Amino acid sequence: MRPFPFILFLVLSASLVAMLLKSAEEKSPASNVNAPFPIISVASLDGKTMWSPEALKGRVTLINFYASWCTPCATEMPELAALAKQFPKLHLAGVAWNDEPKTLTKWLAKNGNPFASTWLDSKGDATIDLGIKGIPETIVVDSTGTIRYRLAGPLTAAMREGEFGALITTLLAEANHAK
Amino acid sequence: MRNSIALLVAFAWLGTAHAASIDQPLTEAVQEKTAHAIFRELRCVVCEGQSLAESDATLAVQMRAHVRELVAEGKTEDEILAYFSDRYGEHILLTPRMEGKTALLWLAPLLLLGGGAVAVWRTTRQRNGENS
Repeated sequence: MRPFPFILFLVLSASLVAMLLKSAEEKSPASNVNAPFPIISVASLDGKTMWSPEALKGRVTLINFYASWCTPCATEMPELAALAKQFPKLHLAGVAWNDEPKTLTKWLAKNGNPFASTWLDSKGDATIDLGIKGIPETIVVDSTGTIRYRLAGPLTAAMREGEFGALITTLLAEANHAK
Repeated sequence: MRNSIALLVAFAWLGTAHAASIDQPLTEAVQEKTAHAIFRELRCVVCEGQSLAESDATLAVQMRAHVRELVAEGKTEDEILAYFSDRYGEHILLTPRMEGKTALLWLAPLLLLGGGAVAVWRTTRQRNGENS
């Protein structure tokens, strides 16, 4: 019996299965880039105000999902502060997942608060609505309320000075042009 | 690979957070049964090899609450599974749906079995021919 056809068959079968599994893995992260930012259910730190989709209209908004217990989030804060300084017209909103208002307030005071508005996602509804698995995650929304970019993991200086910064510049110019 | 490791280090998975909330079953038994059927169909996205029903991760607990909310709103099982796969991808479904892009995944075992059977049949026939 010639073993070659069997070996070839096994190799081809294994390759097909590996290809299918890889393809399923690659397709798995849902990407809602270019979709409208959903209406999320989050409250302000004092619990008095709920998020309104109107807040996104007419300005470029960066929404950062983070938490006071998240170490990479703390390392990202100086970069977000530098970004806010670099782009004064960029609106930075922070959504804290599974956090306590008192703990978060202290943490923001300690680590520097780069956000123009801070929100609490205590039940995880917004996090689930956006398909988030880990924090920090940053979502950039243009002046029409459309998601234009998602970044899983912390923003770095290299990103801010590179493609990410260029994207913000483009989006702010688009927003300015639309006015 | 290096990027994946870097992401793991720089990323706080939402399964490891503190203060996990407690499951609040729905008051209507039929709705709660539907919710449990859905828990068993969804993968815990921050765990290894666990369904939403089995996981104690904070995000899984919150996802179960989210499923219950959607069931209470009157959403069907298919609608709820679609809601989660739209956000987290097909990977979240423990039983992938039979559709265009997943058809090959479903049909692959049959194709491989058929191909193997043909190969065995041809080789056996060839061997018999050589022996006679």
